[in-house]
Amino acid sequence: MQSAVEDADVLIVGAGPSGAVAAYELARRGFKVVCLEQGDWNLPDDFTGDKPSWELARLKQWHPSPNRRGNDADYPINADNSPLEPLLFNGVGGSSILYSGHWVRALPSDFRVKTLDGVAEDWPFTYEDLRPFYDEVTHHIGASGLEGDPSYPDAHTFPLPPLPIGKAGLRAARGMDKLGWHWWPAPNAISSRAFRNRPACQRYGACESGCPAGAKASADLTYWPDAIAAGAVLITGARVRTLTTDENGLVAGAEYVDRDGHWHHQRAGITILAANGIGTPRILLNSASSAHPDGLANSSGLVGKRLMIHPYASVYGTYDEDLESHLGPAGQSLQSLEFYETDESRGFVRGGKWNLMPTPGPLNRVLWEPGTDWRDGFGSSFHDKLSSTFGRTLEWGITTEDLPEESNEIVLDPELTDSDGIPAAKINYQITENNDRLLDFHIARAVEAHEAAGAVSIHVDRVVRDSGWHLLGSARMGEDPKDSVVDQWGRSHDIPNLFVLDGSNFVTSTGVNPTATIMAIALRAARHLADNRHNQVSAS
Amino acid sequence: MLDPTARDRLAVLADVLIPGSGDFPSASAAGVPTDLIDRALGFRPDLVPAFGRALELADGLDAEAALDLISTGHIAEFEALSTLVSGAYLQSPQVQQALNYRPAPRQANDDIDSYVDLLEVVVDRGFDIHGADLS
Repeated sequence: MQSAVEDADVLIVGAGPSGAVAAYELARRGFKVVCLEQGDWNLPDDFTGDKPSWELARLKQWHPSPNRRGNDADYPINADNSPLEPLLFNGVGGSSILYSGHWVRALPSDFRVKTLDGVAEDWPFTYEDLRPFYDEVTHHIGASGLEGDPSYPDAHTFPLPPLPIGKAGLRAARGMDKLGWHWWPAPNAISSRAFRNRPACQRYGACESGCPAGAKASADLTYWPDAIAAGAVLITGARVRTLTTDENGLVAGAEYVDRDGHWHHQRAGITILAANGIGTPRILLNSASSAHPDGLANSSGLVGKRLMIHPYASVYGTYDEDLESHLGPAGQSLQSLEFYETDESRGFVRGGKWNLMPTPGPLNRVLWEPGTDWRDGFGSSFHDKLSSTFGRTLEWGITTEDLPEESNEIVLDPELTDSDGIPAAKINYQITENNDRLLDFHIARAVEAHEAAGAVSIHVDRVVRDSGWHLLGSARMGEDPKDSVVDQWGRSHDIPNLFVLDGSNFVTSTGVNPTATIMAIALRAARHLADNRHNQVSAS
Repeated sequence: MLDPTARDRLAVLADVLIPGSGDFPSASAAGVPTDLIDRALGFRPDLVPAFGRALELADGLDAEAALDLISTGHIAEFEALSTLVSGAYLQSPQVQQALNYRPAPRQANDDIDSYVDLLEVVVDRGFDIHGADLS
């Protein structure tokens, strides 16, 4: 088995947001970078959001669950023991291909939950440490937003003005105003105006099935063109089975299989895992050997443990006027952090972030829910249901902070494999008692927000099963090798030339959409690696 | 491709699922049993088997009885039938016009002026930020 690039300095596994950031930073600093990605490139024209097939295709071909989608590039995940379905995408750009582009920084308290709230652990760095990297990534990708949100200690800027909040956002904002609650025009990783290689958003509302305009800041459009121009080599259709080790106990590279079923070994001096909160622990656990019987980098026993997914509630309000709520971006028009910080009088710690989202497409308004009488939505009910909800329904979506529990975990499934026979991951996950109370509180407040805005009916989906976008914490960072997998720079405590730069390394989940934080952490770590390359141990 | 018998059966079921109302045509008047279902099946070939089974289950039954039977005992088949029929129906230009549905593209015009007064209140109210180093 031969390497595609014989003298790679750095191997990156996974071409999603963190892999893309690392590839660019390291390639431009002179490293020879190779990235292995099991999926392919997708062009804006591949997506169906501007085509008649969209609403039917997004339920299957462009569904965010790999289990539902079942593409050649996908691997199955056993989620039978989880109330949340894991959502991700395998391809250049990773899950940013299908993410909704909520571009939200964590808050200062997120990095100090032990100190402030007495739960979990503090992060090994602070908001202030991460802030310049948030700024840099935000301006590199071309995020849209409005400076001055008072819920942050700094008036951080955006290179593009906010996207329109529309009639729907204005209606919801007036409700929040009545209640005296925080709201802000939402930051989005979506172009409100043309930016570098991307046009402005065309408001298809199809962000979660791939942007047909190419306006969303997915990593294939933001960082990968720059990384490749800087010399990074990106190999698609390359599915990694295991990391290999050398006689010195260092990671020597990765074994992978191409689409023709041929096996290869890519050698590299340094290996970076950027395969998401499921893919990364899966590879580490699949790399078990006699020298590492519990998997690589797992002396702490925490590889795969402490998985956090952010249980998500949807509170839908339907209004008595056409609010054009089928229009994008989707994307978020408003966000609220009113109930983000801990208030112990509520009976739980930490909080959640609210996002106001549209409800694009009429088909979603009339889909049958198994177990219900078909006459509830069809027959004489069909047109009333469709006309009274389409364009008139808004969602306050609630991302709730998920505290780490060792029992919430990724393990290898004893039977399930992917199409190449590689053992698949299984999720064992339960919602915690703290989170249950948090959900109930936030849902009740979101109902009040819709009522204040004049909703004529409200529907609650307490825990949305298809909401497991945020796969975090399964190879956590920390200062002590006994209770963490990697250090603050993403470097394995056990194996000094192995790094984890995806959301696996989160200490706690924060209560916001994590992509901005994942990319900021990846940039910080990659820059540190480049700045300290002469002290970095590499496999020969 | 559906044969004429299957299309006839589909028309009966689809019109019970989606009857005409006001400006909205019935499913068959909108063209669901003809070209629109062909288009929908083309978009979702994975649903073809379950959709075919749903039509077979309806053989010899009154439409409402058939829909009761399928929806209570054959979930995958009813999901395929109802999703494809409604997905096909909503492709109809006549239906989209009745719904006042004008899909994107639209320009993402800046509308800050519409809410800047409300936002000033948010700024004035401030926010209790926990854990920040404000030095």
